[in-house]
Amino acid sequence: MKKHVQGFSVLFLFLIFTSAFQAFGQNIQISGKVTDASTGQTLPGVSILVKNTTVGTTTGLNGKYSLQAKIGSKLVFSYIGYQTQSVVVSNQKIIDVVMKPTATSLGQVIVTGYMTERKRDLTGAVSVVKVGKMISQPVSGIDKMLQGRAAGVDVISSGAPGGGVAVRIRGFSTIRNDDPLYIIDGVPTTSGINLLNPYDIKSIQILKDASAASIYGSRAANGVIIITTKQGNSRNPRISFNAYTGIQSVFHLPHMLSAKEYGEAYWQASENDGITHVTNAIYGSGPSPVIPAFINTDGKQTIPSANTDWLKVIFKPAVVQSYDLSVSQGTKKKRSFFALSYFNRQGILKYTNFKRITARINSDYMLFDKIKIGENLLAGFSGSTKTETNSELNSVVYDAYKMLSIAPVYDINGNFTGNPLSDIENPLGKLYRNRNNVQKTYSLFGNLYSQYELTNGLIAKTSLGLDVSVFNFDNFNPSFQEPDAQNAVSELNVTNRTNINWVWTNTLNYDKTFAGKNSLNVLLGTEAINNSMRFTTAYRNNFPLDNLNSQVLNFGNGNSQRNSGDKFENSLISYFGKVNYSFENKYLFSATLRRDGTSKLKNYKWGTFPAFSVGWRISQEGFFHSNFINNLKFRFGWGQTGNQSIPPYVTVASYSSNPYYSNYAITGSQNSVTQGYTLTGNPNPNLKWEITTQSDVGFDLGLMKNRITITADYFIKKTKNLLFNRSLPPVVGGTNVTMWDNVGSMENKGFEFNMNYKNDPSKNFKFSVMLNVSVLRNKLTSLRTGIDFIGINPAILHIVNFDQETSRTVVGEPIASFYGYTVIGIFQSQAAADADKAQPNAVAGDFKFKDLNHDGIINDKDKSIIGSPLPKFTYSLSFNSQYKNFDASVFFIGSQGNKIYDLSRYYTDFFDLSNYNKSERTLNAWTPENKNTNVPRLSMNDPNHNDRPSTYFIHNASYLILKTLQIGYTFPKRISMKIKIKRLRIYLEATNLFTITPYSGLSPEVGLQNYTSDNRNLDIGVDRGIYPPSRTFTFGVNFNL
Amino acid sequence: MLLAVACQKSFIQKEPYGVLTEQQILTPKNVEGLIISAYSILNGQMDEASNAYNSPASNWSFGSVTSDDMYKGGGGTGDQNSINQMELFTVTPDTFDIGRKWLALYEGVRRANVALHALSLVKGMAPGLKAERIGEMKFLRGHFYFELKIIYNRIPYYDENTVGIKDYYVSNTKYSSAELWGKIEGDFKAAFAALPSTQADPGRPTKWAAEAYLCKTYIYQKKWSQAITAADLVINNGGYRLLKNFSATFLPQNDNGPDVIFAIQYSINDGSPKNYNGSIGDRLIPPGGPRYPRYGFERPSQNLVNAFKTDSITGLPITGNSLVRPGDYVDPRLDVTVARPGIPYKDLGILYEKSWARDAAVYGPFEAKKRVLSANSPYYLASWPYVSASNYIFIRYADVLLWKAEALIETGDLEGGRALINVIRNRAKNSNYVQNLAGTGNAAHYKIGLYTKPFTSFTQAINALRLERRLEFAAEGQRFFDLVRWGIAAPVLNSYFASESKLRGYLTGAHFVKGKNEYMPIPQSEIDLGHGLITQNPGY
Repeated sequence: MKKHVQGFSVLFLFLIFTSAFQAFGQNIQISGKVTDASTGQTLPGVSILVKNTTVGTTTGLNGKYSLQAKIGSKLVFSYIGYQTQSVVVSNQKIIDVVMKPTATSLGQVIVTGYMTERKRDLTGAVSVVKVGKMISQPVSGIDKMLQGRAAGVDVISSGAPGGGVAVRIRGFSTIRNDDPLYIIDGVPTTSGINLLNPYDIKSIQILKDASAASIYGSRAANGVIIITTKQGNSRNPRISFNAYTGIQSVFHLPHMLSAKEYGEAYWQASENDGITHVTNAIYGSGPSPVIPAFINTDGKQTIPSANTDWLKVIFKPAVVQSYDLSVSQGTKKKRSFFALSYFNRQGILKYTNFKRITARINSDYMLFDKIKIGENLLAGFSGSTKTETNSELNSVVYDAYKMLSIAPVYDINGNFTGNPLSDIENPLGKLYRNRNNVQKTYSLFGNLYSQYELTNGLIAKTSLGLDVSVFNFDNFNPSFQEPDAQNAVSELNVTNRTNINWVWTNTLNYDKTFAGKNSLNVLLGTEAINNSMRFTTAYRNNFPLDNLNSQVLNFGNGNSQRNSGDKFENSLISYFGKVNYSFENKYLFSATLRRDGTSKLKNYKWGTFPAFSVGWRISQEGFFHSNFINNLKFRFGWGQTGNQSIPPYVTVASYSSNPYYSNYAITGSQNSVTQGYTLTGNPNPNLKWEITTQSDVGFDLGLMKNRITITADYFIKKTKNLLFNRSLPPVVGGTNVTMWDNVGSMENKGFEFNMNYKNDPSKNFKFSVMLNVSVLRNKLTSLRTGIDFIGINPAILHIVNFDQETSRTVVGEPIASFYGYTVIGIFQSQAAADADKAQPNAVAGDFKFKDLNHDGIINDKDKSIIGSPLPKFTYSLSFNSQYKNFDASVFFIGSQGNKIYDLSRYYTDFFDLSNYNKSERTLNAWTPENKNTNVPRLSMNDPNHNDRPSTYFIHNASYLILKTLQIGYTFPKRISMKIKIKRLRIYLEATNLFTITPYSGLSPEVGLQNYTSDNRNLDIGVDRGIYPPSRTFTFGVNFNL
Repeated sequence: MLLAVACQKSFIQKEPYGVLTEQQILTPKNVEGLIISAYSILNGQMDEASNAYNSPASNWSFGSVTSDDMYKGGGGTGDQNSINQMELFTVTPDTFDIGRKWLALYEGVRRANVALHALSLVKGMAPGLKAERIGEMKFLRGHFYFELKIIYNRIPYYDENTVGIKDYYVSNTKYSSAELWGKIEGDFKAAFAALPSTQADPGRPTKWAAEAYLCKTYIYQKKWSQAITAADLVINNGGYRLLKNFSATFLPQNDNGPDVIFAIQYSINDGSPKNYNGSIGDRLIPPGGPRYPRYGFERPSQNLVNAFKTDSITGLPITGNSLVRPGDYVDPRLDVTVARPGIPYKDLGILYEKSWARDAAVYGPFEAKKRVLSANSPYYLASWPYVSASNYIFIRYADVLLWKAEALIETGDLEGGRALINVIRNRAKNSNYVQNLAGTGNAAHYKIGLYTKPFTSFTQAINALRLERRLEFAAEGQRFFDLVRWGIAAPVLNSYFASESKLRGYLTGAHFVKGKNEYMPIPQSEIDLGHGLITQNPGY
């Protein structure tokens, strides 16, 4: 209130002062310049209107204007994001105006695709992530900035350092690739998110509905995330420095059987199978297992028996650290922002790591008052030491589940060793051998642009965007011999990959206010995009030494050399236009049309994507009087967006040579082959665009001086012509058993609710609360005749699921629903088992499965959908507060109703693979004495096939997680200025402090199996031993000079 | 902006790199590449995955593990559980290997058809060469359909006139069994007519290979007299002979030797990124021990070992599953075929020990040997995927001899049959026997003799023939198919399960259902995706 009074009195004095010189009724020529109060920069596009007339203009690119007005008339200066100002014309010819940015978020400027808009004028569903708050916290990447921060935005990420991230906006609109389109400073990218330094980011906007996103046409079906990086904006150089360091640790490890317990379980399982004299190569033969001094089966005494907790062996507390330094400055003629950052996160899984170094230069220059040229450029490096997790085969976490406790980590000579009966590589040995295998990415990302003001309000802009990355991976696998697992000769695999993507965008933007009431903004543009990728791989083996300096190809055996390489390219050309019109800031209208042509399709290259939206700010109506409601806007939008996210060339018939399966030693040679050609695929020249049609209705409400703001949206999103690589009847052969096709339709309906509350800012104790709730219902609504369901490619099923089919996508059900048999109990007696003719091999203690079709036999037809990984609703709650120099924040996220398929139980709860360790759950296995259990009897043979996919594996994984808790202290200026620091803040933060969940695995946040595979959406929520999230305690400092 | 408009048409026209178009493939040279790729799929490696052991060319799982010869092996019954289901005859249409094998064999059919289709369109190819190549492709198509027929019985059939995807929706009951056999015979007859007597490339079949395969199709249909004629043609004109040493047949040095009629050509260290041109379908078979990776699959049964037991005086087999004990006399082929504790393993200079055997508690002390290469051999790849360049032989000369013997016995010529059985036994008898480590003598008590007395009955003759096939071809993927075509799979296997399960508890509950388990089920995916045209095999 105090501020308002002050502002008013200044204006009042100004009026009195100017009125002394006024000479009424005379038309004079007035010119001047409009600048930003905080930066001193000129403001282009400010609308100037002579009050109560239709005379008006806008400022040019240089912020200058000129018009004629009568002395005594009033000039009204308005601009999005700034407080409107009025100036009475006296006899001065030059009127320069300094405009103050508005304080409320309604005036906030939103980048919505080739243009900016005021939040209050928006008619589409757009979420704004408050970055300002976030940069005072330790954030490792974009995923952490998005998770839980906006309704309708779901972030799934791996716990691994530098691991995969999947962002889902309003559910799953397609099957293959649901990643949103990222636009960083106008340059589209789907990769490279890991390489962005969070501290460089100025704003993040999420365009959720079609009316907002369809300006990006062909790739906008999954929503658009627009990221804008910082610019210099202060007259004096501003230096800021942010640093933090923390310690991460694993916080929930499952328990496996000890050496003694495993032996006893093995005996129990064997005896259950009717074996009277149980023998085991390690535990001996006799009435009960005996733990020997050494576990060798070759009679040597080199591997002492142990009682190893392998999960504890592979994890360790790990350090994370981040440093960010930036210098920025902005004047009328020139702005620049320069930043350097270093981020290093050691993994809690030993010998895993991610580090990132980035440098950014953003600058622009004003030439001849009309031309602006500039660039936003990021040069980055990332290095990542990764390991496979969440997979049935080759996953180090799962291997730690499976390695017997009796096996020691080291043999008597100090070498890595293991279980002589199993093929599993010592998990720690595997991590250690992989320690130097760094996956490196070098990246150059950004754009060069130039804009020119043709006339007042009409701006032409051209921008060339670049996304160049070079990937290098020298993967060395030394030779080793553990008792069973071995690698006889050392091997080096070298992979180099180059991606070069460019985009050339040209726009014309016309922004004009007519008669003070009609505000019109017209955009026209073209865009050309080209993406290319090439890779080469090379291999040699038998290296004389294992050290790092030996790991170059030339040092390996030349006779073993192998190589491969390929290239891909695709392109897109687009034309688009957008009109925004508002009348008296009350009635808002927006329409978009985009036409895209893609090289990926053949007979149907072009797609056209229309959208429109309307808004009504009822709170601006004369009849609307409320002191309680400050803002109320209703919005409705409808639009179409497209998707062509398929590999290139799937519409063209061709033949090619594949080194894995095309060639043959026809001459009888034993070390050379003749080249052969196979069909590259089953081409579908009639493939069409996938089209998503979305309707959105919502409102924005501001209450109590906008201290409470509420945004709610309901949407229906229907996708047709779903693009999918569908299975053909297997008689077409195993090399090309699929074909890209438009297979069906999908529907997402949802409700989003966002509420913010801020208390009275004049209070000493300031706080704000934000609540987000998202409800999503996804289902597949149709599939073309002849396709009963969408399954996972069997080759992938083999590697990641060990051939267990866990999920299917069928009509009427959500994507990636779990699929299997229904366990209805355990046969409690032999008589009960014998009585069940449907399961002829069952004995007491085995599962009884439900005979769904009542045909008296348990077979494939008794499988059904048994759960969904998608939650009923998700929510997040954050609380920020400040008291004097202290600040504190708390952030919760939650998910309700989601299920997990715990496939880790396939090995750990059943004795079919007897040489792998078992979960402590097996201690509770059914026996005639222990009937009150859900764990079936232990059996080596398992003739009832208890381990088949079933409800046994499905578990409720709802959760509420205290994601972050932070306490900060800002030093009083009088103290910090003594060391010439304007602002100095220190903080402590804890993440993942507690998790409330009924799920017993490592974490209910299971994530995807793979973040890049074509099947990533078909395999959600399956736990095979994931890279778990860590609990982190961080200390950090922010300061500005 | 104008520039973008001007070149938009060519801008969104991107041609793939490194491919031949439908026109470019139709040159004589490039069509040869299509033909090569049809050969390439003989090994069951159809994609970039590393699990060709689920669709192995050698049929170690489909023909040996499913019989009384071999156990699945590996790390417990859950390791490659699909093969465990095959071993116990608890398979379902969803069993993984059943789908993979189907995909691999139909890939062969499709590639042969694609090549045949291209051969019908190619211009500028020498007519003689073209005819030969057509013969080769028909031979391969015959091979793939033969395998499909004996594994799945009721199979969809299509030929080179099938081009569009919609043409692949074919019924599996359109043709009767006899009609399907007729089509397979037709391909081998056409191949015989088109192929030359000798081939410069040993990988390509000769006309005698086609005739031998035709003989095999007759044998499977019990067309005994036609089989005799076909066998005679091969024997009299093919120029084949048995190698002096039984074990030499399985050495890579003798790949494409005089006893090989048709074999898959394996190659290693040939620049392939993962060495998938080696014996990739058999990569899980190497035993354990100090020199091998110990995948330890395909493990000889006690019953098989017992079958090699011989009379110490006559050297004739002792039947009745009599346990082989130390000191007993055995057929010398036993220690070529099976790794037994205390016997030297190949030329490694060490004895095979029970500790090599993976999961001996479940799968016993024996390991594979016959088709495993010495770890010292330059033809063996001592790094992943542990494959070798030693060919797998689809048809060897001994096969033709024993087919003829069988046909003769079946048509009443017991003496003719006995003579041919003795040819096989005589070669085994005169082979070099496995020696002890010092090289001073035989590694065990070996004794093998000929059937010196005429067979007194058909039963005696046919049993001798059937046993001889078992001993000669153990671990070559044939046994199960022989049992089925002899019509004795149910009694032989069920009595085997009854006795063997006392030693190997995991076999308890295994049961062969007559009228069902002779054939694998049609893969569920084929039924699901086959537009309702596919009928499941009986019993599944």
